[in-house]
Amino acid sequence: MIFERYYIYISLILIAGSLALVFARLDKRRTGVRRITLIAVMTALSIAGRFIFASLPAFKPVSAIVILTGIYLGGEAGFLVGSLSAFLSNFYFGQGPWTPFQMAALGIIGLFAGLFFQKRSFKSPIIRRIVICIYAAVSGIFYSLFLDTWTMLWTYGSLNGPGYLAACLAAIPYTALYVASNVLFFILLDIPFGKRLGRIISKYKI
Amino acid sequence: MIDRLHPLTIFIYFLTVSMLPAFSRNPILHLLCLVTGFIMLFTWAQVKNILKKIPFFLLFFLIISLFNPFFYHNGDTVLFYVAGRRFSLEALLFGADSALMVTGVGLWFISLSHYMTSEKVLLLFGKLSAKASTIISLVMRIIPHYSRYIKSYRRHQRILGLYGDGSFLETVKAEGKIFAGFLTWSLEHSMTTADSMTARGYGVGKRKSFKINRFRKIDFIVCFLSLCLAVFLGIVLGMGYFYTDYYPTVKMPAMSTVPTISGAVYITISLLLTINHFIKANYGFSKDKQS
Repeated sequence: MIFERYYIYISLILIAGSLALVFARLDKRRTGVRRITLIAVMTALSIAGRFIFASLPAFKPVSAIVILTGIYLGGEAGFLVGSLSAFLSNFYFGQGPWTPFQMAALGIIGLFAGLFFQKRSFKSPIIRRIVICIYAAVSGIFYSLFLDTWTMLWTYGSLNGPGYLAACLAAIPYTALYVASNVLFFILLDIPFGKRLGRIISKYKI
Repeated sequence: MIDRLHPLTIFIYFLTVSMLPAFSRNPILHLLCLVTGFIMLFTWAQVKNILKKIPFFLLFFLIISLFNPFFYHNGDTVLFYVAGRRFSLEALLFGADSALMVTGVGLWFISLSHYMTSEKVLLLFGKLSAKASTIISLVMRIIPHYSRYIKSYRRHQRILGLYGDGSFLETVKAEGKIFAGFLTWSLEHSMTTADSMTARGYGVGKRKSFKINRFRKIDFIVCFLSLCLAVFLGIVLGMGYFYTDYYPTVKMPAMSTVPTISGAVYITISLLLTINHFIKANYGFSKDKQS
C-alpha cells in the first residue's frame, strides 16, 4: 500500500477516537444537574470571550476560563468546558479537520488544571497565583505547539526538517500572545470568578 | 435538498469526498477536489459573498505554496538562489500542491459546516455522550439569552446614570461592573435552571431526544455511493496509481485507464448532490423545491 500522507490520518483517527472514548467514559460518571448547568455557563462564557476578542488574533480569554473551571470545578469540568467550547465556537469560526485537535488541546489544558490545582492548598495566595500563572503560560506554549504540529502535518504531510522548526519560530509572536493573554486573563478573572464560584459551590453544595 | 438529508449521510458524504484526495499528493485529484468544492458553495452561498472570499483564499494559497521552497531545498531544477540557498521548482510545485489540497478541503468544510448545524451534530453524536449533548443544548440556549440580558443590563445602567460620562476610563470601569454583576447573575441563574431541570425529571430515567430526520431512500443511496467511492479510491490510491514524487524531479503518473476512470468516478460522486440540488431547485415540481 502506498499512501503518501498517512501520518495526518493516523493522528486524526487517534485524536478523534480518544476524544470519543473520553466522552463516553465521562458519561459513565454521575454528575449532578447543578454541576452540568455550571459547566454549560462556563462554556458559554468562554465562547462569548472568543466572540468578543474575535478581531484580535490569538488574544483570547478561552484558555484562562478553561483553567479557572479546572481549578474550581475539577478536571472533568475543565475537560468538558475546554473541548466543548472549541467545538461549539468552531460552528461560527469554521469547522474543519482541525476541530478534534483544538478540542483535545483545550480539553487537556482544563483536565490538567483540575488535576494539579483543584484540591491543593498553597502557603499563600501569592504563591498560588504565581504557580498557576506559570501553568497558564506553559499551557499557552503547549496549545501553540500542538496546533503548529497539526498545521505542518496537515499542509505538508510530514514534520521532518527545517520547515517545522521555521513554522514554530514563525509562530513565536502568536505563542507570546497566547501566553500573555492566558496569564493576563487569569490574573484579571481569578478573583471575580473565584469569589463567585466559591460562593455558589458552598451555597449549593456542588 | 441537501439540508434535508440525514446527518449521518451528510457527514459520510462530505468526509469521503473532501478527505480522500488528501491521502495522495496528486495535484490533479486535489484540483478536482477544489473545483467540486467550489461549485458546492453555490448551492447555499450567494455569488456576491463567494466572490468576496476569493482574495483571501488566493493569499492563503500563495503563503502555503511559497513557504515550502524557502525551507526545503531539494529538487533538481534551481530557479534562483535566496541568500545562498536553492529555490527549486520542485519545492515550489510541492508547496503549490499542498496549498491546492488545503484550499480544496477548506472549501468542502465551509459547506459542511453550513449543512451540519448543531442540531444535526447532536442527532449524530448525542448517543455517544448524553452529558455532552445536554451541555451543548444548554449552551445553545444560554448564549442568546445571556447576550439579551447583558444588553438590557447595560441599558438600565445607562438610564440610571451609572455608566460614566463617556470617557474611556469610566466606560471600562462601568463595563467591569456590568461584567461582575452579570457573572453573579449568570451563575445564580444556572442554579435556577438546574432546579427546574430536576423538577421536570432530568436524570430520573434515560434521556431520549426527539428526532425529526429519518433515514430515507436517498440517504441510503448517497451513503452507499460514498462508501463505494471510499473503497474504490482507497484501493486505487493504495495500488499507487496516483503516486506522485516531487524530489528530485517531479514524477507524475501516466494518464492511463485506471486514473482516468477513478477521476471520472470522483467527479461524478462529488458533483452528485450539487447537480441534484440544482435540478430540484430549477426544474423540480416536488415539495423539495427551494427558492
